[in-house]
Amino acid sequence: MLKKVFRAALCCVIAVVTLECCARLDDWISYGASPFGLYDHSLLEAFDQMGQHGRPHGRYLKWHLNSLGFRGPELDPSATRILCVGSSETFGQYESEGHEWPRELERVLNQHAPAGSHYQLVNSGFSGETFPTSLLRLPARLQTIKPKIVLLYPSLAHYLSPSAPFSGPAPVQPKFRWRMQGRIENSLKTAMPMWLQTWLRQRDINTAQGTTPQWDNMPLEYQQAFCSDLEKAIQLIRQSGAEPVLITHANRFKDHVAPSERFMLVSWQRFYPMLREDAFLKMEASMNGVMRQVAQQQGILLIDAAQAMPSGPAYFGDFVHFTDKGSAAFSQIVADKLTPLLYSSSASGSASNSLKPDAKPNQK
Amino acid sequence: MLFNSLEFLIFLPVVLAIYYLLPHKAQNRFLLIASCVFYGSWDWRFLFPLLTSTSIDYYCAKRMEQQILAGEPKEDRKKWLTLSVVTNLALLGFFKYFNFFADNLHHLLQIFGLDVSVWTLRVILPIGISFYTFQALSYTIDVYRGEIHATDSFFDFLLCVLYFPHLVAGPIQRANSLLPQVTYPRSVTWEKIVNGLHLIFWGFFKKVFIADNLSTIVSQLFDPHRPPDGWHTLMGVYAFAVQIYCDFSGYTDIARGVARLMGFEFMLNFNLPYFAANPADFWRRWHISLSTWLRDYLYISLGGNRGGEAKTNRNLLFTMVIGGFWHGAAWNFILWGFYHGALLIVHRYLKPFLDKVFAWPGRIGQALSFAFVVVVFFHFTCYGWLLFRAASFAQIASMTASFFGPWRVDWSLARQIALFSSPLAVVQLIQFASGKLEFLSFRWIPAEARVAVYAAMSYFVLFRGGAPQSFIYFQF
Repeated sequence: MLKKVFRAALCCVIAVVTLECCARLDDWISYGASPFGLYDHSLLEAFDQMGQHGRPHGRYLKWHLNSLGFRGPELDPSATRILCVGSSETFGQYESEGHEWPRELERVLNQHAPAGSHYQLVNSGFSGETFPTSLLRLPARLQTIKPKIVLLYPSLAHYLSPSAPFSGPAPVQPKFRWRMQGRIENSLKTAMPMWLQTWLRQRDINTAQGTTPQWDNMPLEYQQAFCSDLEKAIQLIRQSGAEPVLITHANRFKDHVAPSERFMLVSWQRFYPMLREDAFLKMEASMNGVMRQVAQQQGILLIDAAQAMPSGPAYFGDFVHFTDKGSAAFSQIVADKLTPLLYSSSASGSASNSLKPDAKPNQK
Repeated sequence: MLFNSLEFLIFLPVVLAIYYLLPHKAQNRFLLIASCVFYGSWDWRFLFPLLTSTSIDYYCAKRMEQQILAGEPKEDRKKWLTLSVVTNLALLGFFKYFNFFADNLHHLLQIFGLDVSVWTLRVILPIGISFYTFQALSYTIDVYRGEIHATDSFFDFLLCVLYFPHLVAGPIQRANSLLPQVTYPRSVTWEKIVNGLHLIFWGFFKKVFIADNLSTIVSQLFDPHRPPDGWHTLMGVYAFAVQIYCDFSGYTDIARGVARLMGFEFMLNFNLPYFAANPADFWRRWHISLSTWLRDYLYISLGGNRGGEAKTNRNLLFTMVIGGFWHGAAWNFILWGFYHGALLIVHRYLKPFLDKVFAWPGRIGQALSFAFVVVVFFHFTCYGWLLFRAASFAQIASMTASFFGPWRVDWSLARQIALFSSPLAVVQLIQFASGKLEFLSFRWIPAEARVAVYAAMSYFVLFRGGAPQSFIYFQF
């Protein structure tokens, strides 16, 4: 009897070990990941006094970072640089490799670039990086990258939970983590019916809402903080000699949520339970309003992607992150506005004369 | 409800749990209901043509049985057989081939300058109609020939046809094998359950990991808008050869495994077909339930190899063309059938010569000559797959021509195909060397090693499967 129990236990151990070995072999074959040690999102992360940022030369799945910790290739000394500031929408989430919007935009701009010149889009966006943190990092990035233009595409919802710059020690990573665990969790999530997922999320939201205040919009003081951050960023960019360009924040629904798409809003609300379900679109509208106002006051180019982007699941993988198609559409919208300015800046040698909010888009 | 769907993974345990609790008669009635649910899950209207043909076949068989018992001559039974054959073929022709003939008639009339609008139908092809039609036909033909007795129970016959594991893509079970298993109580032993699970596991692995992953590569390589070159065409046909085998044999293995869990035994449908050394050998190993059906009910009915060389060749060619046309209402399937018919005929004449040339001395010599012949014939089979998979005659022509043009060698593509195909190659070599197909139930492999193999297969099915695809043979 004891022998049988021992054999059964041994079989269980063999099964678990085999599954884990297969996961490691799979990572090695598919992504060139080392079969030993950790292989998860932490490979992309590094920490300093301002918090989390991209780890130089970090590689995980489709995400490959350069020596500066930015997604994309190394800096090209011969290129005219455009810096993209943002969060996970800019870093890239659902798009296949090389299809995040800065790369797409780079391709579109270079198709129309004058002979002998080319642009490099430097993607400084990183998942989870708030706009206040980007602002703190901006002077160093401007100095290193020396961009001609800076595209600001801030993630708005981060202002719902403003936090002071990071000051603690970097989180300690465990020495070993089961690679099977994440796969099993993801598979269960995929296999779970949508109604059940929504119900579980709703339950989490209800629990969280018991302890947090409920807002119908972004609180005014946070809108003001955003306005002030934008002004500071614009000032820093101008001081460096570059031209700031603001891009309003696009989302999957634009201004109406179809009942069949409600589940997507619930899954987003789980991250921000302090906001009522129907307040998300109001919050987007208010914050984009702040951007439009700042752009007008500061006399800088505003690209109203929130208005111009088509909505729907073909373009957005979730509430705000692009699909390949969404990224391509977004890049085209930005390029249409940016191209005439780049052409005229190339011709005049300076972008400043042409970067005015009333600049006419290049109709294609 | 595909076998590789979540719905089926819920459906099957529920069906099994209830099935095991019931006595024999109730099991049959319950399986009938479960099969209706399974088939109706695609479209409940599909049940009507099936019930029509089954009812007519049952009635015809009963009348023929009465005539046999009354000692009436065989000729008197012919009208009932004719009614059954005509009904089944009419349903098949209506749903599957009507538009094909209408389109071709339209093109023919256009050639003669007559632009007549031909009436086409907008009907959905009932899934599995080619399979259950042939199955029902085998029943009435066997009763006509006096090889089996007609059953008294309509529901037993209906279950034979409708039984969900084999309904939509075979194996085409003969009534003489399946009817007794329905009529008499079945035993479900522990060994049958274990063997059934082995088959299901291996079937899922072939389908989900190998076939579905290769499907993406094959779709790209057979893209009609892609200018072909020799290397990519070769890789495309290699990949498709593995894909179609794993897709279809994977389905068959799951079907056989599921049936075994309920105490049924289905016939073997694939027996290492890519180890075939000649065309006749290939058809003894590939889709055995169809090739034996065609042999027994068509080739032999046409006269088989009686009546001289010319008639034998004609019968072979006709049988293979019908076999090709059975796969789908398109000219490339007819061409594929013709190609295989031609291979069979040519091989008949070359056989004495080939036997002499490849009679290499010694055991090693024999093994080498066998390996050489197998590899050469595999390439003939692969060219057949090109005819089968291509979207048009123009694509067949351009892909064939690409073999004689420049080759852009791309090893990464070959590596990718090899990566997905290598588990199959390893397993098939073990199966061939051991002479046993159900390799996972080998007693000499310790349980611990089998657990490791199962765990590895589970990993690749669950986490590395290709985008879920329907089974290729569902369309037939």
